[in-house]
Amino acid sequence: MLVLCYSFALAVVSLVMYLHLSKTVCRTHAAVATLGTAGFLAAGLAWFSFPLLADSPKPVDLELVNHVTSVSCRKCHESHHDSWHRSYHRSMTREATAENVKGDFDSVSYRVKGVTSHMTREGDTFFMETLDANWADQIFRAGKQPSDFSQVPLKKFRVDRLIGSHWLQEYLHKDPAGRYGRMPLAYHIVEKRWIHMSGAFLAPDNPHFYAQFGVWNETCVYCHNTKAQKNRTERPWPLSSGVNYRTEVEELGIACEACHGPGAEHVRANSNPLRRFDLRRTGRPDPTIVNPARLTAQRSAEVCGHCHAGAVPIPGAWENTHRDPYTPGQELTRFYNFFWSSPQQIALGTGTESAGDDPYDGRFWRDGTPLTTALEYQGMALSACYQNGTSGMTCLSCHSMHKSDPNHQVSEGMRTNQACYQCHPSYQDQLAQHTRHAAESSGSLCYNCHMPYQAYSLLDSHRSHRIEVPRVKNSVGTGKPHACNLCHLDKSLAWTQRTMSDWYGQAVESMSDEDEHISASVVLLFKGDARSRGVVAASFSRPASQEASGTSWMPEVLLRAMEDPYPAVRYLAFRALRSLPGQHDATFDYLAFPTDRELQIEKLFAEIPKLTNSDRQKYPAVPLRGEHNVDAPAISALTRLRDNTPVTINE
Amino acid sequence: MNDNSDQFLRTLRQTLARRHHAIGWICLLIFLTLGASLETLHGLKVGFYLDANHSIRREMWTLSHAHGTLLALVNLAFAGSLQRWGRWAESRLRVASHFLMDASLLIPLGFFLGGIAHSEGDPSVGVFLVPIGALLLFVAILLTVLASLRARS
Repeated sequence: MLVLCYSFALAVVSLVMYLHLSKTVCRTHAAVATLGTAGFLAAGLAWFSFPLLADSPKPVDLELVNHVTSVSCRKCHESHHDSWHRSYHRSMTREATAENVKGDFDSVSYRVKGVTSHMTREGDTFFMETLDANWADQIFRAGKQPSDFSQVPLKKFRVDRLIGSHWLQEYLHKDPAGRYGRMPLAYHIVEKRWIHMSGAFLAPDNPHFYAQFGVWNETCVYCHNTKAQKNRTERPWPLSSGVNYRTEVEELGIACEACHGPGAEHVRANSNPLRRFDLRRTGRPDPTIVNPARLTAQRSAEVCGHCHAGAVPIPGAWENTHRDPYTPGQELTRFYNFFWSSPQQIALGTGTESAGDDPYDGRFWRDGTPLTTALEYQGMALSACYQNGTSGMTCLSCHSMHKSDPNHQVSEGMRTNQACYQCHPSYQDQLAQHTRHAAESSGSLCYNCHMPYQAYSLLDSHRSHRIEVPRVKNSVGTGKPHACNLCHLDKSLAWTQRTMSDWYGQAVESMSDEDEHISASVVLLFKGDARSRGVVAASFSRPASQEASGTSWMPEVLLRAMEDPYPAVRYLAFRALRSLPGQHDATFDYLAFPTDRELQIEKLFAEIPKLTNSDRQKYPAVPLRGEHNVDAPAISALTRLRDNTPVTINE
Repeated sequence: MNDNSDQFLRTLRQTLARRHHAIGWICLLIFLTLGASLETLHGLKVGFYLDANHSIRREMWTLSHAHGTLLALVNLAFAGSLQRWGRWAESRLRVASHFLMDASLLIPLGFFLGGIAHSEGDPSVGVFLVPIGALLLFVAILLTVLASLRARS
């Protein structure tokens, strides 16, 4: 069709040209000029039409297509490239260059766990001098820790690569076997300080200096890069035991082809300008590339789910090179099995039987709601909006990779209730009636009740991606904080139940004495497991929660929480304390030795203003009494009942 | 006959020289104004010109300004040389003159239109005027070269 149009246009141009010229010059010259022009244009037509016909849109097996990297994409998609370049996806894994390193390597020292590490820079090369890993292993086996020694052996490691650029930056050292090992210190970008990795994840204090050691080639490579191939080989006897890695990635970080598939065929086919104009004119999809927005809802969600879902590789579906076989647009479950609980994850990963029906695990709340980030796909898939929605909800219903703020990549306008009004427009006119909160208040933001901050990762809480009605029954005995109690921190779960029952007719559940009478946040902060404690502690620093709950009662509660055995919980409690009026200058090192932390807490205790009786009466569910603000015996009683189930969430 | 013909050709060269002289200055005025406008868009940081997703527009309009200005100078050079140098046949002179004028319009116009309603990686269909203009310019320059190489009678 395009060729016909072009031929017709050529004939018309030639005719007009001849008629025009024949009036001004002799016919011979006119004819020569016209024929020359027509010949030139016809040659152009022939030049372009053959490849055009050859490249007419037809299905392409992208599995067989090569990758080209984002440099090639930039030539034609500059603004998309720029928006991706601003994103934290791009910088998820980088080489350790001056441009990419966020940590302070300006000859600084950082002392933690009895080890003073030195971070230095020599030209464009970065070094971390820290505890020798072999020695750390030896003393750990002997039941000792570095602080038991007056001197410890240090080793200088070159930093070769890094992970992350948003919240935390972790550093990798490459050993002769091609293994990129995670260094024991990370830079907490949010706080602009060095931390030990034990303070980066939700895990208890561990005496082993390398307790959080990880191998990038094994644990990070697939989701933090584009089309990775692990290439892990066992070192043959008698050389030595162990493994070699020749890990390859098509591009470091999460680049264009992670979502759009391999681009070599797309680049080749679209070097023909007529093809590009034809595709633009007709609006047809280009089969040489994947556009997640044009996929079905399920396939589109799986593009994100490739990394934002809990999934375990299906052994038989992968080649020996361990090259990630998934290509965007394909059915993800051809290559991965989703898991919906940690026991299921273990069973799928190891081939052993499931740990049983006990739903208690590290990465899901007891009601099955995903508890960490990187499980957003599961959260959405469990949502009624996704299961029953008629409009094909996908990640792209609220997120955009190219038209969004890099922070969370929520589409323009979708940070507001507009996100939900897309499918629930009727609430627009009756918002306050539905929420029972002022329309402009945070209590009327749909997200706060239906996607509350119930997920944990990276030393913060994040919105749950399970869009659900906040039922009290899902918070009774599950450890999952109720949405209402993440803002109304001073109120008990029973208060929430009464309110939900009055307003929405929710069924009344039986609950424990603590849930009946004590603030739900206080109960979870001292009696809950580490996951509940972390998520609740994070909520104390949110302005909406402070506005809804008042802040005068919080300092002492948070100081008690700063005694928590989990560094991450201590950090979140301190962060909340520091956000309170009059506490901005508070200092506390959540990774210091216990004795040092006690001293710091004592000092902070002494500076807390005492509550008046009228203040105390305002918060009947918060255990406040006596000389100090907090009812210490009540807190101690809760702490004695603490759920000490070990939790390690490396997210 | 020859005298009449020479006289006619001289008159024609004068007429066309005046025409190209006027067109050259008019084009220069237009495209320098366009250049100033583009500088203003830079100065005011206007999004529809400077945003990353409009880099094609920026490129096309810059090319329009540059080609328009250069072609204006070519018209002036053509006008200046027409009365002094080169041996022209009437028909060739008319073709060269027409083609040069057409090219002076089509090339900058094509670039300018190419920057309107463009896609992310390509100019809009208006850019197809450019190769047509380029072809006409090529013929006009070729004829001028041939005329210049021939000894003037």
